[in-house]
Amino acid sequence: MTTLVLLSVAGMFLARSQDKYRNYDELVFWERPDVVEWASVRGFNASWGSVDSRYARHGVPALKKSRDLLLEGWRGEKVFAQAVVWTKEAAPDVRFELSDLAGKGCVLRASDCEAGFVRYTKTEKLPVITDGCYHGYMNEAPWQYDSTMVADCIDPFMAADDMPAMSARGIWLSIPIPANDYVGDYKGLLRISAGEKELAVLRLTVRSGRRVLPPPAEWHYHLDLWQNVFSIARDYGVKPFSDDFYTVVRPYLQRLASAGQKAITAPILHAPWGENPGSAGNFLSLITWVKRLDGSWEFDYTVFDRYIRFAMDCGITGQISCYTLAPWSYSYRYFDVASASFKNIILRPENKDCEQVLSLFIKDFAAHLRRNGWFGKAAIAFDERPLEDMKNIIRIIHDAEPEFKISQAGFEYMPEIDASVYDYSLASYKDFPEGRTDARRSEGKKSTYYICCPEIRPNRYVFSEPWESAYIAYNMAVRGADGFLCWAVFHWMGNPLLDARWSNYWSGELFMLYPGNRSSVRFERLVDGIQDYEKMRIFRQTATPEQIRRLDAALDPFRATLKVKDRYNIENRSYVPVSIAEVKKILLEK
Amino acid sequence: MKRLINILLIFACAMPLGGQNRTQNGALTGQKKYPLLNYFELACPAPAVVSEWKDVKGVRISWGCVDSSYAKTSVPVSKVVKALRLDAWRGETVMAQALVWSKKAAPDITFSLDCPFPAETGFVRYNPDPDVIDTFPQSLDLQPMTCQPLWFAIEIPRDAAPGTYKGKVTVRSGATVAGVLTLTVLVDSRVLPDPSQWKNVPDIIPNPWSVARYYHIAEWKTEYTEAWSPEHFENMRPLMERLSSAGMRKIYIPESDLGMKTTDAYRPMVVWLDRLDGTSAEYSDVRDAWIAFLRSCGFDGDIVILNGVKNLLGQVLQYNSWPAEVLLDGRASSAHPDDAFLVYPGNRPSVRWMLLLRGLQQQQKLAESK
Repeated sequence: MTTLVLLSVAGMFLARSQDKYRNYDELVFWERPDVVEWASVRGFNASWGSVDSRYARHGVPALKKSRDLLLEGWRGEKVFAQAVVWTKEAAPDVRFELSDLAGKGCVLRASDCEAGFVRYTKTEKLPVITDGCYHGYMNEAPWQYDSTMVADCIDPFMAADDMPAMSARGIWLSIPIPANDYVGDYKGLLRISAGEKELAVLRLTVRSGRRVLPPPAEWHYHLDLWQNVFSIARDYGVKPFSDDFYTVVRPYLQRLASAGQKAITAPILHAPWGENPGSAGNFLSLITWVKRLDGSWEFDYTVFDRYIRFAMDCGITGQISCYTLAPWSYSYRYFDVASASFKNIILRPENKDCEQVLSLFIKDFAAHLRRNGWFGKAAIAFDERPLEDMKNIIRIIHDAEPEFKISQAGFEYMPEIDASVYDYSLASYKDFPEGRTDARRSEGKKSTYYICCPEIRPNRYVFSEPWESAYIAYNMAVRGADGFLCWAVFHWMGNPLLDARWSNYWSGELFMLYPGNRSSVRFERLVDGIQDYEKMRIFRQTATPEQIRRLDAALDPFRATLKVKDRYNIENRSYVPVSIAEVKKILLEK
Repeated sequence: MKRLINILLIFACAMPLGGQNRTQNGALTGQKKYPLLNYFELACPAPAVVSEWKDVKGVRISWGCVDSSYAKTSVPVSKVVKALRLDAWRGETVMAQALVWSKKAAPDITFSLDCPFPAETGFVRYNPDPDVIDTFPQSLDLQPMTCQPLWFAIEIPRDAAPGTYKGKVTVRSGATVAGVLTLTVLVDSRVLPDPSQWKNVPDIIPNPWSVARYYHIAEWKTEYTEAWSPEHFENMRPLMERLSSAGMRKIYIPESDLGMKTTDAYRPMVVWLDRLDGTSAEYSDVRDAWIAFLRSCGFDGDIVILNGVKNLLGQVLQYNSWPAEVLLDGRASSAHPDDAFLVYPGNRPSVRWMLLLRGLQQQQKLAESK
């Protein structure tokens, strides 16, 4: 145990001396290969693998060896593949190169694809747990649980792998099929070499279909992954809202936009989730609340305006989720002109003084948003607030500005406020009442589910199966939800590239993207599922009744598990990859 | 028995109320912090010389001299003066200092001025020099072998009829009259110019932050007085009206601490909000409110931006940069050596202020006479 701790610590010191944004070493692997398992393996091997697998560093990949792969998809769709290399003897300097894929008269450029070695981060082995959220108690040391190294991070910067004897590693490809007029095959090669010596060549065919998937900005899926840009700032050592900050944050927001992210997480007061000294980054307010000498309130939107314009420029244009108006401490920080200092005022929603100040803010904010043409996209957003608070705050908001949208994420369905909430996200282990999501959709509202920790599987933990991320969108589809919400996508604590564990959070609870804007197997499969959601929606518009029947039949297993007791901890979900494959096949029909 | 009770009351009142409060020079105050209405002087550093007081019988009174400073535990004068004559122009404020002293304790000393003109009067109190003209107490107890000066500032109206006016000062100890002093004021026909016309008025810089601090813990309020609140302006008004009535009309806007180490630092009145993105927003609320307030106190002169004190010509004085416990100890500490003031909390004038005023008036009279 001590050795493990020391190794981890040593590993972290090692990493710190490197530039993790380009080049880092994984923690030293302690798991040893099974010589017996490797007995029948000879030399260096390469094959196409499966996007449903995480290939262990010292395991022999369980697959049917194949040098040829056909990926089919709609034009405009991103398709995914994982190759895997494994070697009996040590194989230093193993590299790969994806060629351009040639179609008839057009090219699918390798530079438009994302390709990277899949890298290993430390995680818990998923134990048998009954309460998903806490490892028993808060702040329990992560190394109380058995751990392992798991393949999750896709690193486009890792040029070569010095593979020890009896080791393996995956190579992930995310390939966007061009949305041009060409319907046909693109052919290319994945070359694997060691230095100058070619070790293996895998052949890849990407087939574009008749149907076209529109660009992410036009997707209906209401994806809301809360962005903690302050965590990025802290990690990169830049000051929030400086020019450097915008430079480093941009690629992350662009990546979210390409996954269909709809909402900008916009903090409109200081520390909407409270001050957490141990946190990755407290949310700073985009809006400064100012109290003038004569007691009047004023609101400074300078930083807000620049940040919203920036986020929209990155491609996130659907919604501005403004956190919040009932902070967990009811404490509002403002600049007091009389004392030239920041002060706090406690405003409880049931009190008159809260109503007075908040109405002023709501009117002023609405006017400001209207001047920018943003009012229709803006929503005052709340996270798990008690019903009485929600009732009071919504009343205050709508008395001041009846058309201001409300966004709410909660683990209790509150019928009392349902009608007032435009964007309602319910914990996925609860349900909207029968037919509610359809009724809300017909009113132009959004109804989604969110996953955090009570659900053990499926989830998007580092140790979850890759298809569990794709499953999310299928789950939303069969439940009639408009999308999916998650409270953290790059909330980094420690160095997740090396060790995904932190405090009482299961590995991967806090992030799906890694420093250096590296994606993950989980994130790519999340996008995979979202695309299927969109494709299903579009397919239904022009499909024959027979096709629709077959599609619904393929989705039946997903519906069936909704009725299972303890549906958030079902061990046997072997149907999922099979059903997903079936659905994808149907969606390829013309 | 009554006398015993009185003595006990005197001692009881002298009992420490304020725990461990200290002045800026380290002495225990024995009372609450920043007293505003009633307060106790600290013990006199120089004890009385008993032999000096041997022949003093009863409660003695006399006119003193405005230019003299009378030690607390000394017999102030050997020759008693019962009558005083003051010459005044119309519109002038003339001054007089009376003295009360006794070998034995004399409780409940009161005085009344019988005079046809309005006057500001008070007990001259020690901190440790006789400088505080305390206009608040109705009465003070005279400790054994101490001297209690009284100050009178008589304001002759500009439209008073020239002539001779008689007045008197009656001093009582309890119900007993200790003595009566007579006063004759000869009012000249000449009129002192209006303060707005005064020449050679020195620059005197007020310190609004001292008031906010000192009045923070006021005897009659339980809430804090926030800087720049209506209460703050209300508290400052009498002090500022006194200043403008002595001919000071300029409005000073500090942009820094003026390079001075005062207990209550001067600060920029323009406030900057530093935004997260590195830009700033300027708020001139405080400066605008200060200007409007001073205009309403009679400051109709130029607005002067102050950065350091060196950009002012001539003598620079501070009006009310108060050491921490200024009523109890008027001396600056080594930590804040630049503390200086002419007026006290509660708008109590200082003896120095009165002498300054007298000097200013003299200058105007001389200028008129040329």
